[in-house]
Amino acid sequence: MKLSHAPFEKYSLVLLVGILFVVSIGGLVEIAPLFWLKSTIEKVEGVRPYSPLELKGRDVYIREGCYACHSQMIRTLKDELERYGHYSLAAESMYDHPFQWGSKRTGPDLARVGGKYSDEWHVAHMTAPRSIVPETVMPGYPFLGKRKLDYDDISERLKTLREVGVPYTDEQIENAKLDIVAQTKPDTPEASAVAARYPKAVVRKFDAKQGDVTELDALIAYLQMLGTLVDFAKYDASGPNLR
Amino acid sequence: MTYETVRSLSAMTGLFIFVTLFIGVLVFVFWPGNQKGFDEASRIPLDSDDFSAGGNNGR
Amino acid sequence: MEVASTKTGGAALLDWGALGLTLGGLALGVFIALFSPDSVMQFHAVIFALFALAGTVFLAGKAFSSAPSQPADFYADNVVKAGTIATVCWGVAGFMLGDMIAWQLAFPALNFDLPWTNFGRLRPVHTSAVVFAFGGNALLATSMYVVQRTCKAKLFGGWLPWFVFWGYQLFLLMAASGYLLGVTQSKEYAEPEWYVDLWLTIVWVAYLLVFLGTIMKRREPHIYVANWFYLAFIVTIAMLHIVNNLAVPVSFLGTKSYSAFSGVQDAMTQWWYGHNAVGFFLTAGFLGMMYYFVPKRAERPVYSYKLSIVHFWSLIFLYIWAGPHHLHYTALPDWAQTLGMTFSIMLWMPSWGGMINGLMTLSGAWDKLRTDPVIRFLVVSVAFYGMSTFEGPLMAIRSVNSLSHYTDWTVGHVHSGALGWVGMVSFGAIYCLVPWLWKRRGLYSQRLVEWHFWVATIGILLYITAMWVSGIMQGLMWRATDALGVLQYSFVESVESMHPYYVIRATGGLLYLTGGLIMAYNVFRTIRGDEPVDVADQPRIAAAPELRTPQPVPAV
Repeated sequence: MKLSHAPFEKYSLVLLVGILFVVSIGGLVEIAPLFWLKSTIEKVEGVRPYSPLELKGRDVYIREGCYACHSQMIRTLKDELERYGHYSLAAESMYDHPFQWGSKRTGPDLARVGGKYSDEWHVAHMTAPRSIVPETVMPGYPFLGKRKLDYDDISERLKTLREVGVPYTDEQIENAKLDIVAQTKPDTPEASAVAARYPKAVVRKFDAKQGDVTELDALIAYLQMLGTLVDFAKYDASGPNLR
Repeated sequence: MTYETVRSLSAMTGLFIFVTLFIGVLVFVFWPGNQKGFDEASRIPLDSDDFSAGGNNGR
Repeated sequence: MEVASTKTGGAALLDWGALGLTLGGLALGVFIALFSPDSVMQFHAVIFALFALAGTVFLAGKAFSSAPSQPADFYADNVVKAGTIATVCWGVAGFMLGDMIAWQLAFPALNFDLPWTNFGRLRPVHTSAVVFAFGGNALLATSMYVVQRTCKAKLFGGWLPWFVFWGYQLFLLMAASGYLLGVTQSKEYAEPEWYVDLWLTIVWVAYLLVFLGTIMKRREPHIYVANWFYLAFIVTIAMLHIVNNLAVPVSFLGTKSYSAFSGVQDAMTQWWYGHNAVGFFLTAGFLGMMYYFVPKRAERPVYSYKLSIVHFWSLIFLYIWAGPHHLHYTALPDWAQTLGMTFSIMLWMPSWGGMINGLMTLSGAWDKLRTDPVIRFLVVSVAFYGMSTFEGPLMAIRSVNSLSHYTDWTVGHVHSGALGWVGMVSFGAIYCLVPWLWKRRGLYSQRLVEWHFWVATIGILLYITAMWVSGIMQGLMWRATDALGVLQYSFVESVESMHPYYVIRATGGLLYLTGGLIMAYNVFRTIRGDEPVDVADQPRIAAAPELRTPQPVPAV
């Protein structure tokens, strides 16, 4: 008797379906459960959507390809905890569309860079990295400080993010444009409103220059909040979290 | 569903499907009747490119 | 005689339909160029409209032409020729970009403090240029060549292969220019924004139709195994591309979108995509190339056809699971990490099965390695494939990965696969194809192929050894602690120590680029029709089929 291998060899459509079946199993088993297993993302307090200025900063971070050299994922390894701080939780990037974990550390991890350096340090470092750190190989970004931030469509951006699952409120979307400017004007009522809508948001004119909000303001606002939202004094790793 | 169940379930699914598939492929490959077809197929690249010139090179 | 009247009604209708579509594309491009508030979108709409215009002119010329139709060739090879030339050009461009950013890491002043010349924007231009432009065109060209020969059938779809070719170049142009202008999704190897992704999806479906259609009308009872690999590559890339790029655009007239997934799920989806871009684009597709060109050039059938079948099913089943090894010790749940690691280690077996099958095809004809540098390219590529697929599972082991991840070791690993395997198997295939397609008696110069081979090989060795040393050194420096358990080195000290290795790496890259230029010159002279300088040294198989001397009768 001849076991016919004809189905695969002779009939291209059977081959096609066979290939599709075989290559879909791995993805289904590995990806699908991450969406319904509650244990995937820890229950933590403090993680909130980005403020409009931080979000614009994040968009600049993506545009310039920062992820090519900087990770935002502290692994559960002793030296990384020592160097960068508490290991990254899944919850901390749950509003990141897309994620910025990175894959290469030509420069250091940035998951908890928020608050580590002053605004002045960031401004100087972005403008001329080697003036601050002579050995660094980071490109200079002097143009960021000269470019006025374009945020005409910021409300649309928040709305789009709400469509993919980030819980922005109507109030946040309505005020998005005002909040961008307000986050650079400390000690004003508008600034307090930003801080109320986005707890722990840092309100400062980040590049210390009068005038329009720049791309550099946005980028530094983003960097200064990275990793600062979760209060690890209150976080119980042995709690209902399964990692 | 606990973490452990998910872990073992996913591992078992993968293992089971792969072993089944692998055995299936092996049976298919070593089935005696298939040898001739494999020999023919493996000659395909060697005798095809004169076809355009009208020749059918040994087939 | 009017051509349209000789066409069957269906084919004519299809041409008219296509004409409608290109006109629609032209209108869409003009509309977006006029009304988009986003300057990059406008720029891309103009490019799109120009391509649509060219398509319209081409199709209209066909529909209204009254010139007598040329006697059709048995095979549709012009599109393969175009793909071959595109492969060479994109290859040189991609290697040059790679070497540029390698020098930037050694000497950061080369970033010039400008947005469109900084490393962050150029890096995806390099990766897309080598993977999708050089590799992709090599796969388009060879798959369309191989499927016709092994099916003894002309490409399916008339002008559809040309749509695939030009549509793909349009995708590449929009992707690369977008990165330079700051338009990116930031998902590695999937950086193009939503509208470029949509366009690629359309082109890819057309590619699948052309390939599958050709297989369906074959005059050969069997489907040769190379076509299995090509088909798996096309189908799986379609699946990966669509799922990983699910996103919602902020506006239909703007470039920006936000990914449908976030955080941990997005990371898993991305590396499921990312690792299988390696597994199916850079491995399965190029294995298809290997399974045709190695036996063809060596003039002997593949070592074991049975092994090739086991190789095929095991490889495509196992590869798809390997993604999580990019996420060891991260916030990805451990169960997924363990699965990724296990399957990555198992993947070693089919990979080496394939390598053995490729290498052993030469058994009994090992002397060809000495006499035919084209065979040497093909065989050494398979050896590099074996080396990278041994290193890969090793690096997927959690404890090894804790050292290697985020370091240059990964970069070195990728390049031993990319320069060694993907690059060299493509060079081998190009050197085979050019005289065959342009009907020459051989390559312009076999000596130049020798030069290319050695320059490229030394370049690769410099590259990967430099990256091994720098990568392992980085990993060790990051984790070094003194007796009190305090970190021994600041991060920037590790950066500083990389400098000499970055110089060596960039030098290696420069050699590889030089090899590419030598190839481009040799291919150019061959296509131009210059008489080969050393045709007597070239094997009979180097000549186009109709110019080959008959097969020598084997001694009894």
